[in-house]
Amino acid sequence: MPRCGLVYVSLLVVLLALATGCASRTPAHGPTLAGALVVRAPAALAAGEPVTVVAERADAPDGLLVTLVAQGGYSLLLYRSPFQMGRAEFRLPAEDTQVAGLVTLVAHADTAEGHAELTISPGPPVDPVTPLVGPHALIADGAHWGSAIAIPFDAFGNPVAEGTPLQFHIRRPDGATETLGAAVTHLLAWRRLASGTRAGRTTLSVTAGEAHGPEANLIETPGWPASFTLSASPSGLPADGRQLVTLRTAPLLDAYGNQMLDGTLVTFAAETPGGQPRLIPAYTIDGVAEAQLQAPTESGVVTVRATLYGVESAPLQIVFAPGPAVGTIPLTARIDQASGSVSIEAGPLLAGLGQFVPEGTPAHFTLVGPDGVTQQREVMALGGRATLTLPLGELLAGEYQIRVAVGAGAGQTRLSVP
Amino acid sequence: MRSLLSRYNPLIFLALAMALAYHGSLLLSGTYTHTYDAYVHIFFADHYARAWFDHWEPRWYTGFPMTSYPPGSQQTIALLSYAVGLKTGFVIVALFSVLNVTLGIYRFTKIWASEEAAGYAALLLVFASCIAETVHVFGQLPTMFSLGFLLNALPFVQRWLDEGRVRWLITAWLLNAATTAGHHVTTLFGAIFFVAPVIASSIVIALRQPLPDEPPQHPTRVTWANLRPLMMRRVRRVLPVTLRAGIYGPGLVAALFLVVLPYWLWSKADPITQVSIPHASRDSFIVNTSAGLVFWLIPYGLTLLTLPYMFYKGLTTRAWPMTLSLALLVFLGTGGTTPFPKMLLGGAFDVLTLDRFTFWATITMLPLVGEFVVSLRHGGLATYLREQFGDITWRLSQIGLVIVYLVIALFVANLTQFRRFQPDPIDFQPIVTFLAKDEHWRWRYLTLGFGDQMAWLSAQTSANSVDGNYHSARRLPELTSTPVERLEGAKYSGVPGIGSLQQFLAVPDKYNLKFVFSNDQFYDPLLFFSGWHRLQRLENGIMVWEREDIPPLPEVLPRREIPLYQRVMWGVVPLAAIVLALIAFAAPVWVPYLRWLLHLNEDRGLHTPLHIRDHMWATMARPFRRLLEWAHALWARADLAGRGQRIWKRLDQRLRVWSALPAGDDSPSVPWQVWLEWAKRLPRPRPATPTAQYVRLALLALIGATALVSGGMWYLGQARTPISIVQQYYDDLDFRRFSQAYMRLDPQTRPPYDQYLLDLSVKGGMVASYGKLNNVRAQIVAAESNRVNLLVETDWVTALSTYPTTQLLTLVLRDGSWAIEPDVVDVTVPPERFFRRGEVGWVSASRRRVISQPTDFADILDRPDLQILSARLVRHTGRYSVVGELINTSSDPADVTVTAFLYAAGGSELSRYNAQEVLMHKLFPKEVTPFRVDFEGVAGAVLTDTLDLKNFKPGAFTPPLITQPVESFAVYAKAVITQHDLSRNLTLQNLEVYRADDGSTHLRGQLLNTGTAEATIPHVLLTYYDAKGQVAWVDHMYIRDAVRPQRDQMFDIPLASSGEVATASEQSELFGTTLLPEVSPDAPWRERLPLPPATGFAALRVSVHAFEGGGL
Repeated sequence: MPRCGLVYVSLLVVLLALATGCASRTPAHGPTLAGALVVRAPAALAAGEPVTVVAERADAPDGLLVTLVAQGGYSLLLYRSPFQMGRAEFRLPAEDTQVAGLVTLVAHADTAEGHAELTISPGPPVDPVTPLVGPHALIADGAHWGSAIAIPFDAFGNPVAEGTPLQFHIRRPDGATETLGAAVTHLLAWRRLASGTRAGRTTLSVTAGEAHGPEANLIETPGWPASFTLSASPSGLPADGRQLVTLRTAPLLDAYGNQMLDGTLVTFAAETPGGQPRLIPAYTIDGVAEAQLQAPTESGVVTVRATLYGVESAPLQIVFAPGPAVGTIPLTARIDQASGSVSIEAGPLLAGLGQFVPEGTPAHFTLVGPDGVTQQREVMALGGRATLTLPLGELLAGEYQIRVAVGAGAGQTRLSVP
Repeated sequence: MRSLLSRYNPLIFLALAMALAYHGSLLLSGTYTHTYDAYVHIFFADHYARAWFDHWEPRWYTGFPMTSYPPGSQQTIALLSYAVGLKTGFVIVALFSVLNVTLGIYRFTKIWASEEAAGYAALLLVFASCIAETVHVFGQLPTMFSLGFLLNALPFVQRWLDEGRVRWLITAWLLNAATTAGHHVTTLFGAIFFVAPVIASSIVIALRQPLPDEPPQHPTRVTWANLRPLMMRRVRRVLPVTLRAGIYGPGLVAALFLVVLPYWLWSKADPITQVSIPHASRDSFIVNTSAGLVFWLIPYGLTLLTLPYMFYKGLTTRAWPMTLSLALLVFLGTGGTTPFPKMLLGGAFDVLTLDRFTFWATITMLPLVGEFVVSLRHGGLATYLREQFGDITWRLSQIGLVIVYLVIALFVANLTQFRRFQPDPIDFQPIVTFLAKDEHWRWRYLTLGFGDQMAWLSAQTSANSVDGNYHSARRLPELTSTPVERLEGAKYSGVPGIGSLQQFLAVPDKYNLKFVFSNDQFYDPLLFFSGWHRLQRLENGIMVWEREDIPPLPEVLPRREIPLYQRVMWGVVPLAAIVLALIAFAAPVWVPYLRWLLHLNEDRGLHTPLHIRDHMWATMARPFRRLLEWAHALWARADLAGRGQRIWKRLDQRLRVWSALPAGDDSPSVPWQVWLEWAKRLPRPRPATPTAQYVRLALLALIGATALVSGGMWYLGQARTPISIVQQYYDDLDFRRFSQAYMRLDPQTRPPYDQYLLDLSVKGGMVASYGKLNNVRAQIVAAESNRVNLLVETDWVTALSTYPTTQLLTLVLRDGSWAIEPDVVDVTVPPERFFRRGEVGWVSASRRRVISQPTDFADILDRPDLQILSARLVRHTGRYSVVGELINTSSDPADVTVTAFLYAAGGSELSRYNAQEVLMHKLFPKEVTPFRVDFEGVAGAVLTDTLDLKNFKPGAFTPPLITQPVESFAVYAKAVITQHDLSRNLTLQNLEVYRADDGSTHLRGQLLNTGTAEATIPHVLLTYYDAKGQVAWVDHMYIRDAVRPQRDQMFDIPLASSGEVATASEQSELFGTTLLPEVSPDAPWRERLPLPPATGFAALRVSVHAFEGGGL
C-alpha cells in the first residue's frame, strides 16, 4: 500500500505540472485605457548617451503598465514602466543607444498606443581608420588608376556621419607626397588614385580628425617596354655547332624610363646563315635579359633580334668563322678479313688552332659503290678521329669512292673490295 | 582438461590452438596491411566509431550512404576500437572470424563425414591456402566473419529438421541473422550452396528411414495397388522434415531481409547502375594465367590432387548433396575459362566476383578432404599404398603431403611479401598533419599510387577525397559510367581510367579538388601538364601537388537522408543479431549455469553447498521467474502445441492408414545404388611383394626426377633464343634490373658496368623516367650462324600518351649464348665545364602575420592581368575545340585557368570545359600562350571505350553530349599569381618546315637546353594563324627524350593542314582579367614563322616549355 501511495502521489504531481503548463494565463483584472498615448523623446541623440523617454496620458490610471518598444536597425528593445500621475518614464541606458540610426519608439498601455522617433547619430571617428586600395598594383603610365577607400567608424562601431572629412596622405615612389581630402558619403570616403609615371611603391594612409590607421600600399609597375638594343660576346667563334655566345639586351625600360621588373619574358629571335630561325626565351634580371646562342654549323652571319609581344629590338649581327674541322682530312680504309669488316678512319680531325675537333662532332661519310649507289653514314668523332666500321658482307666487290666531311674540313679516298 | 579432451575430439582443440598461433601471429605481424580490403573495412569501422548512427559518409566520392554495405564486422571493429584502436580491433575480429570458421568447419564436416574427418578438416582449414589467401592476401573480413556464422548455423538447421526442437530453430535463425549482418551475399548464396544440401540431405535420409510403426513390407514391383501406399509411406516419412524446412525457410529469408533492411531499401531506391568493374576472376584462366594462379590454383592448392577422390567419395556417401553443390561451385569458379558460367549466371556474371565460388568450393570440399586424410591414414588409400608401394612410400607420401600443404600455406600467407600487390607501407602522419593545417581540409584531395592504403589515410582524417575504395558507392557520373575502381590506380584501368583521372585533373574546380598526394611518378607528367604544380615533398616521400584557384568546399555539403527508423535499425539490429547469435550459440555453455543460478535445478543450485539462498538471489530471480511463469501460463492457456499435435496426429494417422500395403506384397529390400555393387565386384589388386614395392618406389622417383629435369631443360631452351634474350633485356630495363640487363650484352663490346650504369642514368624523359613497357615484339630480319639482326618494336605507356619505338638490335653468339651488341652512346661534350645562369625567385608571403584568421585584405594579391588576343570555335576530327591565344600583361607570373563555354541559340549552356594540356598554365610576365579547350563528355561513357579496356589509349576522348546546334561560345581566362614551375630553358634551334616523302608538311628542329636543370619532358606547342593573324588551330607534342643542360635534342613534328580544321564559330565573348586591352591583337610579332601555302595556314608560332622532373 505505501508503494501504491507513492505512485498515486507521483501521478498527481505530473498531472498538476501538466495542467499548470498548459493552462492559459488568466487575464489580470486591472485598470484599462484606450486611445492615443503621447510619447516624448528627444529627436536626436549622440550614440552611447542615456536618454529618458516619457509616455503621457492625463487620464491614465496609476499603476497601469506601459510597454515601450524601441525598434532600431539591428535590435528590438523592450521596456516597462507603470503610469504614475498620467506619466510613465523610461530610462534607456547608454549601452542601449550605441547603435546609430533611426529608432522608432512605440508605447502601449492596454489598448492605448503612442509613437515617437529618435535619431541616434554616430560619434566622431576613432582609430583605426583603415585605408583599402584596389587594385594592389597598376601600371605607372599616368593613365591607369585605382581607388583608395576608407570607412571610418565611431567608438561604437557606427559608420561616421555623412560629410565627415578625411585626408588621404600619399607618398609616391619618387618621394613626392600629397594629401587628398574626401568626405564620407554613403558611409565611406574614397578617392581615385591616378598612377604616376615612376614605378615603385606608393604608400598611403588616412586620417579623420584625430583618428589614424595603418598604411596601405599600391605597387606601380612599369608599362610596356620601349625599343632597345642588343649586344653579344664573345665574337669570332667558329661555326662548330657547339660553343655558346651570350646575348644581352640593354636594360629594358618603359616609355617613362622605368626598368622592367625581374622575370619579364623576352624572346631572342635569330636567323642562321642557312636561313633557319631560332627562338631563345629569356627573362629580365635587373632589367637585362640574357640568353645563350649556340654557334651554327655553317659559317656566316647570324642576325638576332629580341622581342616582346609587339616590341622589337634593333637587329644584331654576329659573324661565325668556318669550323669545326678545317683543311683536308686524311682518310684511310682497311679490310679485316679475320673479322669480316671494313674499317674507314678519318683523322686527325683538326680545328682552326690545330686542335682536335670536339668529341662527338659528327663526321659525314659518303660511299659511292661500284654500282653507283651512294651510302651515307654519320659517325661521331672520338679522340680527334672518326671511324666507320662496316660488315664486309654488306659491300659489293669492286672500287668504292669514300668521302668524309666534318664542317669546313673534307677528305676522300678509294677502297677496293675483293 | 582431460575430461574435456575425452568428451570432444582433441583435434578441434589442436586446430583452434594452431589457428590462434598461426593466424594470430601473422595478423599481429601486419599481413593485413598488405591486403586489398582490410583498410576499407577499417575505414568503415572508423566511420561507425566516429558517428555510429550517421548513415552518411562524406569523405569518399562526394558522400555515400553507409547502408550500402552490411555493417556487422565493421561495427564490431568500431566497438572494439574504443578500447584497443582500429587496427588492433581489426586483428581481433579477423582472428575471431578464423576461429569461428575453424569451429564451423568442424561442425559442418560432422554433418557429412565422420568425427575423425571433422577433426582433420578443422586442422586442414587452419593451413588451407584459401583461408590464407582470403585473410592475408585479400583481407576479406566480412566473408570470413559471416562464413563462420553460416557454418555454425548448419548443424542447428540439421538438428531442427531432424529433431524439431524450437531452440535449434531459433539458434539457426539467429546465426543466419548474424551471417547477414556480416555479409548478406554469404547468406544469399549460402542458402543455395550450404543450406540447401543440408535440407536435401535431411529429406533424403528421412525418405529412406522407415518409421517405427510403418509396415515392414518392401514390394519388389510397383503396381497400381501399392503405388499410393508406397507414395504415402514416403510422404509420411518426409512430411515432418519438409514442414520444418518450410518453417525454417521464411525465417531465413526474414533474417536476410530484416537485419539489413536499410541496405535493401537503399539498393531499391538507388540501384547500382554503374558499369561493371573488370575482375580477373571472370577471365579465362588459360589466357590470363596470373588470374588462374590467384583465383583458382592458389585457393585450391594441394587439395586439387584430391578432387577425383572427393567426387568419388562424395557421390558414394551421404555427402552427395554437398558434393553436387561442390561441383556447381567448382564449375562456377572457373570464371570465363569456359562460356558456361556466363550462360548460367547471365547478367550476374559481370557483377559477381567469381573467386567467391572457388572459395566456397574450397570450404565445401574440406569434409571430403578430411575423409581423404582418414583414408590415407588408415583407410582404403592407406591399404592400397602399403600393399602396392610399401610402407616407406605410404609414409613418405603422408609426410610429403603434409610438408607441401604447409609450405603452400606459408607461401600464400606471405605472398604479399614475395610479390607486392600494394605499394610499400606509407607513414600517413605527415599527410594527416598537412590536411589538418591551414584549413587544407576545406578542399578535397586525391591520392595516387597509394593502393588500398588510401582507405587508411581516409580513416585518419576528416578531409574529403573525390576518390574512394568502395566502388559500389560511387555516384559521380565520371566514375559510375566507367569501370574504374579507383582513380587512385587509374593507370590500371585503361582508357576510362586515365580518362576519368584526366577529367578530375582538368576540371578540379568542379569537385573542389585542390591537393593530390602522389606516390607514383607515373602521373607526374599528367599532373604537370594539367596545370598542377609540386608544392612540397612530405617527410614520408609523398609529393604534394596543388592546383591554384580552386574554390573551397561549401560549409554545408549535400547529403541524402534516410528515415530515422532506418538509421536506428542500421546502428542497432546488425550488432544485436551478432550478439544474440553468440549468446544463442554459446547456450550449451551458459544455460546450465543460468539455471543453476536461478535455482531452476534445486538439487544443484547455489544454495546447497554455499547456503546463498537469500533474499538477494530471490529478488534478482523473481522477475525472471514471474516472466517465465506468465509465459508458461499463456502457452498453456493457448495450448497451441497441444492443438498442433492433435492436428498432426490426425494427419499422421490418416497417412499411416493410406500407407498400408496389400497383404503379402513383400520382398527383401533392393539397394538402388547399383554402381556400388559393381564397384565391389571390380577385381582388387593383389598385394605386391617387397621387391616389387621397392622397384615401384624407384620407378616413381625416376619418373618424378625425369619430369623435373625435362621441364627445366625445356624452360632453359625457351629462355635462350635471341627473341627471348631481347624480351628479357627489355623486361630487365623496365623493372630496373640493370645488372641482369648488363649481363645480356656482348661481353666483348659492352662498356664496363659502371660506365653502362652511367650511360643509363643520363637517359631521361617521358619514356625512360615515366613510361611503362607495355609490349615488346621482336622479329629476326637477318640471321647468320653467329650473328642475328632483330627488329624490335616496343610500346611504352605514359600517363599522357603511348610511344611505339622501333630499334634494330644485333645479337652475336658468345660461348653458346646470344648476347646483345650495346647501343652507341653519345660522346658529345658540352661547351662549358661550369656555367651559370641567373634565375628569378618569387615568394608569396600569403598571410604576413601568422594568424589563424582569414587572410587580411592587404595580403591578398591581385589577379594578374590576362588579355585574350583571339579565340575561335573549331571542329577537328569531329571534336569541338576552342583555340586561341592569351597574354599575361601584368608584371607578375600567372597561374592560368582557361574555361570555355558552348551556347545554343537561346543562350543556354551546352557544355563547358577547361584547357588542360594545350596551354602553358604558368606564365611569365608579358608571355603569350596558345590554348585549346577540348570539350569532353564523361570519360568511358561511350561503349566502345569500355569494351576496349585492355588497350591503353591516353589520347582517346569521349565526346560531350551536345543536343542542340552550337551558336556561340565564351572564353574565361583567370589567373592567380604563382611562384611555381617557372622556367624557360629550352631554345628552339634550326627550325625548318619541310615536305616529307608522304607529302605531309613537317617541322623539324633542335631543342637546346641552356638552363641548369634537365628538361625531362619537353612540350612543344604549335599555334597556327590565318591570314589575319588570328589563331586558327593549336596543336602540341611531347618530346620523348629529356634534354640535359647544355645538350640538344632533335625533334620532328608533322604539321596540321587547314583542311583538318573547320571553323565552327567566331561569335564569342572573351573575358580576361583586364578591363581594357593592354596590347593590340594585331601587333607585328617576329615569333610567327611563315608557313608554306600548302598547309592552308599563314603562319606558325612554336613555343616550348618543359616538365623538370628533378624538382623538389
